[in-house]
Amino acid sequence: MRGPSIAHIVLVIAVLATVPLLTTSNVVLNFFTVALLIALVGQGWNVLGGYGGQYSFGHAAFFGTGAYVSAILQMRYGVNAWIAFALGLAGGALVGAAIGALTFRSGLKGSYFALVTLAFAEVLRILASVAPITGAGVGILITLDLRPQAFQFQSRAPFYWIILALVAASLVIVRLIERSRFGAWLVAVRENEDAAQAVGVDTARVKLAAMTISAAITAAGGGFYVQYFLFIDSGIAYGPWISIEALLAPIVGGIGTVFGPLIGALVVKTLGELTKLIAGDAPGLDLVIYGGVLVLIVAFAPYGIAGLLADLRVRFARLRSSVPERAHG
Amino acid sequence: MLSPVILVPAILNGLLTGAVYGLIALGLTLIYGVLHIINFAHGALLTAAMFAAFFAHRWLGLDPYLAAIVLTPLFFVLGYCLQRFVIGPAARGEDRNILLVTLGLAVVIENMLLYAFGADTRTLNLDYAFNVVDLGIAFVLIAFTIVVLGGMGSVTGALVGGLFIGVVESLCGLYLGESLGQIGIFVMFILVLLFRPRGLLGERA
Amino acid sequence: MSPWSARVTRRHLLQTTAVSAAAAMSGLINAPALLRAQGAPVKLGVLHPVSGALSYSGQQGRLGATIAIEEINAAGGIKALAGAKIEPVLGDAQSTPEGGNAEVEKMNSADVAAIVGGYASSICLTASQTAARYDLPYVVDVGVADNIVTRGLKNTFRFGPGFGVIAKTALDNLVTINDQAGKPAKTVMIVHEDSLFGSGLAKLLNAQLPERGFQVLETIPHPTPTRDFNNVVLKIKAQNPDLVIPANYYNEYVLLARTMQQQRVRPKGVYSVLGGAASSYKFVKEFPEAAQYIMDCNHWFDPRNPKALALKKKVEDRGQFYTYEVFMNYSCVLLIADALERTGSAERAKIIAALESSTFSGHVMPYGPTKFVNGQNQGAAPVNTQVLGNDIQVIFPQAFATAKPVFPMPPA
Repeated sequence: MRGPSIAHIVLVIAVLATVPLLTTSNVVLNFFTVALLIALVGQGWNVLGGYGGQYSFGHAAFFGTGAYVSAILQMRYGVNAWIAFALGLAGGALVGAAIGALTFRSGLKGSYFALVTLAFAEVLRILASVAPITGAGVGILITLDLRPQAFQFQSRAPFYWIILALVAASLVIVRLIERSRFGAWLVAVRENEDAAQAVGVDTARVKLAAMTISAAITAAGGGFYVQYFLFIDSGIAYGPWISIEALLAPIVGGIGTVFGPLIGALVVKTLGELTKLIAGDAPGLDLVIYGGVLVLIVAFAPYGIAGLLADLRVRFARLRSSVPERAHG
Repeated sequence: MLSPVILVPAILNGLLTGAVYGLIALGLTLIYGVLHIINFAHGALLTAAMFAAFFAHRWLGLDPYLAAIVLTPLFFVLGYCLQRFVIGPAARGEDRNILLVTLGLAVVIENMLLYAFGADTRTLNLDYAFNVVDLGIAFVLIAFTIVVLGGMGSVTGALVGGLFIGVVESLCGLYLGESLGQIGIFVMFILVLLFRPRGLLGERA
Repeated sequence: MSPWSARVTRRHLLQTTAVSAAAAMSGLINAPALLRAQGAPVKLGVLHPVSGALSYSGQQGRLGATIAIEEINAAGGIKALAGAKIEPVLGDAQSTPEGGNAEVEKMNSADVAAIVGGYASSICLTASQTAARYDLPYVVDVGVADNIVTRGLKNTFRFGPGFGVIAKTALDNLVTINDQAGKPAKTVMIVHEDSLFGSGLAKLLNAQLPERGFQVLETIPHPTPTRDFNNVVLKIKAQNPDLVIPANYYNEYVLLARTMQQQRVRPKGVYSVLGGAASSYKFVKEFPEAAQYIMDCNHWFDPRNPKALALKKKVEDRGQFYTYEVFMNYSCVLLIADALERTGSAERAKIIAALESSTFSGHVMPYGPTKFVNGQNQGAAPVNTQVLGNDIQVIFPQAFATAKPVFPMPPA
């Protein structure tokens, strides 16, 4: 359980922070911003799925709530964009706690849990597509107001740094969880819930807390999406696309690791771009690749890229230790 | 209150659709009951089968009912291959992994169909057949709802559940409107999972 | 152990390097966008949702745009720019706003002079907003949401009509057609798809129909996709409205029409507003009985314009249907080419100015010369069509009509 230290996180963030300084291309900046957004959403999933072992197929429920709450508060009630963002985050956390309370109390686990989260996301999507407050089918358009006070910016760079800051916060949070007693409980629940219960871990409480934190992080992603794209509707907010992205990134990058979602998001997005380059305008081909990658990763690299790297390190170490005379050559 | 003139046909429609649902759910419950696999790719395979039947008609002039006779063993083989060469090895038995692998498969199959055949509908001028790639996702959740409602592994459960859900869907659509009505199935799903996960006729887990 | 420990184990270094490598790799993949060279041809961004749920419409839109570009280039390019050819920069919006957004960024990096397309309102909204950051002219091909042109964005132009005009025109024409037939219709039922396009339209119709003397019995929303319209048609059958007004996409429209045919529901008229299949040759070809007498108020080409008919033949010769996405995109590209000719420059600001003052008539739509106020082409309007025999005829306005309306529908 020796994850990276805070110093590592700072290093990685510092490196990423230089991107807007190294390029003036908005194409590149946009690419990274979206990748970081997925990394954030994926990190949320990772808390519950990676560390807690509860695979959710409906993380869109939190993403969408964060987005809609923020959008509705801004456009219907004139709330300041930053405050709306914070409230969106809180809203998402609340939904997480509610769904968690319901499902964990009923003792749902494994596949049942995955399915019920999917169902919740769908219910929210349908409600959002008919309710007047969400603009129903029309969705909500945020008025263009390129001022920092309105959480909008003329240039792309401030958006980038904000999402980077959010990702940094999520990395630190996960790091702290990893090293804490709560983290130990969470992993115990993942490894063997009955045994954990037997040794006195309050598994229901632990799972609920993990769900709430997970939801909050993902909801922050939703709030950011709204500020960046200035438009939200029920399909974007609660659709399966974001639920899939949320789980794909951490699984590919390394489930249950601090950097997993970040690595995974960058790799998956790059893969998407490569596919577009190679396959041209083939409809749906990039999604075929996503599905294929998911299957391959589960088959060959269940611990994701981080896991592969750890494997390499172990093999490298073994190789070195098998030739002791040469080691100090 | 809606008059019987609408209510009765709506219920009949629901039963009709429900029977189809039941059949679909049957496949799913068989898989789960025996292998303990939740097959997320069920809907995608259904769509693939529909396309197969469509093209059997288009190219070979085969009536869909006849095509079913041919396609059943064909898809049996496909299913076997998928399990033997893809799902089994990839998942190594763990429930969670199976879910992910079949999810991945579902995405792959559906989008390959999208890529190969485009997004528009294909219609068979016989009765009602209607192919849209999107259908796969919709059917998956409905099929799961039925399986869970009827009880995982119970064949009778799947059929009864199918009819029940078909009627629920039809009536919800009638009373709540087609858009909101879709919610009926998912709410039903959540309620069953929360309060009676073993379903009506399933065995205690 | 202090979390600030400076011990750097190999594993952590590997992890950090992996992140940095992934980032660097990602950056490199996108580098080519920066290096695209500038040349004499004028680059035009052609943005459509060619993959994903809207792929058919996206591909049709792209077809229309590329045919226009081919024709312009074959005729010698932009004369005012010494015969510069138009070079299309094709973009796939993937049927999502994020997809559209990313493509606009790429097109901007590729130094396009303007962008045409978008198709879906949600894509048009975000794409034009992104383009506005770079003062990049954006010509909307189809997207009908009214707020596309009410945001005060100088760079956004819409050649076709928006909801407001469409709803008003549809109702004006309905009243006229109804009056001419002796006012047989009074009650109405609206069936619409529940996303931006359908809901927006339904709202307007609901507000305006009563004012014109019609009674809305019920408004039925449905999702896209919808697999089964039996219950919807049951309701129609039970309430027996004089008119059914559908507003949805192709697949659902076809299913609705066929279900009505199966259940033998035959109102006095089916009057679509932006009906997904109501004025589609594909629908008429595949389901001639279900399509008979269906009226639509939709985008349509000028049937007296030889250029429009030539384009129709060209498209059909390629084995495609002549759908509205084709001729609207075709016209938009011609509009931009005209702006380029008039301004003699590929500079974005000049193109925007040229579009603002444009009075272009070389398009194939029944709009008259273009005139943009706040980005909206004032002359843009839908026309009324009806499926008669095996063809789609224009029945209104008189100036463009090729047939008289048949209303009410004769019995089966």
